[in-house]
Amino acid sequence: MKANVLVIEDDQGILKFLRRGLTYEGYEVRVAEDGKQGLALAREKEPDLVVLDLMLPGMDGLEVCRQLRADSEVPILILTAKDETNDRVTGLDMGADDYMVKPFEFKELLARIRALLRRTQPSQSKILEFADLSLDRGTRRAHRGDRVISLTAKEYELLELFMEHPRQVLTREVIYDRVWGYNFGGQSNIIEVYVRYLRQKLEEEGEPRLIHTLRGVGYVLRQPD
Amino acid sequence: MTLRKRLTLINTLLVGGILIFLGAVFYQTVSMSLVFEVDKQLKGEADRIIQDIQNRNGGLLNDSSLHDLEIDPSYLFQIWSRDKKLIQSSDNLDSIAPLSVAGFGREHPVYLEAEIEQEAFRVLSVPLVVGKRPAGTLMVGVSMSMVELILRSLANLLFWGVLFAVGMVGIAVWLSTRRSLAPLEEASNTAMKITRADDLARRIPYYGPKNDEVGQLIQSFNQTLERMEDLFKAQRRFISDVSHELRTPLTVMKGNVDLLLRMDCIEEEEEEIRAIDREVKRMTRMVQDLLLLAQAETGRMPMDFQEVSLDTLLLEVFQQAEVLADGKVDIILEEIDQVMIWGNEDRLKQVLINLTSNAIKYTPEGGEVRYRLGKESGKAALTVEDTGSGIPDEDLPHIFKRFYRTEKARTRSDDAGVGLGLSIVYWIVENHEGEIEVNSQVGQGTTVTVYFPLLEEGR
Repeated sequence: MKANVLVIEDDQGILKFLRRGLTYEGYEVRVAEDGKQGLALAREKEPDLVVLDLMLPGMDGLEVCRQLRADSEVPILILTAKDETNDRVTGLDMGADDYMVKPFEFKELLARIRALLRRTQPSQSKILEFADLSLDRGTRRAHRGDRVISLTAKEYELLELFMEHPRQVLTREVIYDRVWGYNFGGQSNIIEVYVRYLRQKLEEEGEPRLIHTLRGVGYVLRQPD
Repeated sequence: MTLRKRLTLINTLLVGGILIFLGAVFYQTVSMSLVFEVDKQLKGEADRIIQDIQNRNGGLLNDSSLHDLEIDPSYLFQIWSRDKKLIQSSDNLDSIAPLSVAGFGREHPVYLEAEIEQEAFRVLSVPLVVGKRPAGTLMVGVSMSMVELILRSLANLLFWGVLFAVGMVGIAVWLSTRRSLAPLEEASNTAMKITRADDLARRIPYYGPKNDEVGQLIQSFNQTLERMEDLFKAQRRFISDVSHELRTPLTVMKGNVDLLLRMDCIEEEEEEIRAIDREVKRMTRMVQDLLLLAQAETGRMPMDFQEVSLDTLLLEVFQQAEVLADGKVDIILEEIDQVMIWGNEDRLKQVLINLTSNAIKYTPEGGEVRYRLGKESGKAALTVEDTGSGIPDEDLPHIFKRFYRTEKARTRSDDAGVGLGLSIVYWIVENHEGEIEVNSQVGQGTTVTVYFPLLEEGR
């Protein structure tokens, strides 16, 4: 099913390329040029994600954000031309989930949209489990047995990827693509670095290894033999 | 010397000088009038004795007629003949030495100082005349010890009195200048705080009278501050508006270029599109730098900090560096580690991008730009190393200098971005409590390492 994206943006140029680009990427796109129209469209049919410009004629973007949030949990991605942090902080306080400063890379916008959509997929179970390891998507923390493990953002993303695909071999390409959004090929050993950190945290108290290396292929999450 | 010390010193010296002068005059007057009084009494005694001699035997000087001459016991007298033989002396005088040797042979009465048995005396020597012929000398003396005692006490009193008064004046001036200079001190403290915190909204409080010198100074300083604040506010607003105006078209350009490249609908023109993409990116960077520069210059710029993964940031910049280098320069990721710091992600990215674009710009074709990220002695260490032209030693100390000093770098048209870039790097790193280390050799390359405090575990 195509995800439904609502774009609220007053600049025609930006609006056009966002519509074209997002449609090309397979999203169902609806556009609004001001806050009122945007809210009306959102009420008509609940979107899966809203891309919202902060500087709008008439009703200000922050107000739109507040009203959207008032009756829905839809992920909101803010676009702002201002570098001033106040706007962003207020935006995030108003319930926005992420922000991007113009001008932005279209590729990065897509990555963020994907991440937001993934995070809010209703079918997603809140807690992933494998062996004695569990991962809480809400708190973004892992548990091994009774032990609570706090993870950095990237460590979490990597572990989440493993937990979503237990016993499946994940190639470096897949890991790069899903966690870093770019295939660095042989130019970087960042995956090894993160796998090392993850193993350190998961095996801190001498627990058996869960993330295994398949030399020349990739990594796999599985029970020790 | 501070103004306060100077004022105190000047006032104390002035008052001290006046007091010492007055004291000296007073001492002199008292001493003179005391001596005058002594002289008057000596004169009285001498006149009385001469009168007595006259009365007894018409002024003839011989021992028998004068043996019972009376005198106040506090006085001494001697009567000498013309040939300096002692004819008579007072009972209280044992010595037969003349009271005052210099008193002999005078034509007029003379007052002289003398020392008798180690005691200071005042001696009046009067020539005695019998029938218009000099007949001898009368010497009348009195001890000056009392007078000396009085004068000594007076001198003592004056000395300590002046000293005390000068001390008091010094303290009084010190305290009173503190009182009157306190607003100035507060003014300079506030000015320092404003400079340090870039907080132009602050004003110097002043509770004294508005129309005195200090009040006027502070008032005009506050007016200056107000004007600057207005100016900076207007400038900030202007910059913010302009940057918005610039960013919107840049976004449209960037977005469409990205789409063209993404949709694979171009073949022949790919190179041209990529060139546009690079220039749009360059312009975006410049707008960003300008905005930040202006904000840094017009006062503080708020940065909200959060956990930042430097490695993720570096990988993002690494991707961009490859685009920027366009195959002319090898971009190599030498070492990377997971490094978390506390900072502002966008600003830190700007640091990396500015360092990167500098490294690429100054590295000739076929050269290398290397990145290293790791932890060094409890700090995050991020290195950008190039094989470029290097920086001459004499320029090294200046490359990070704050904006307003790097007039040269600013006006050099061919690398306008650079003059701003490094200042911005410096400014951002400073705001992250970080440090920058630059090693460079002309013709060999430059290594820039930035250090940041590591995020403590569990924060």
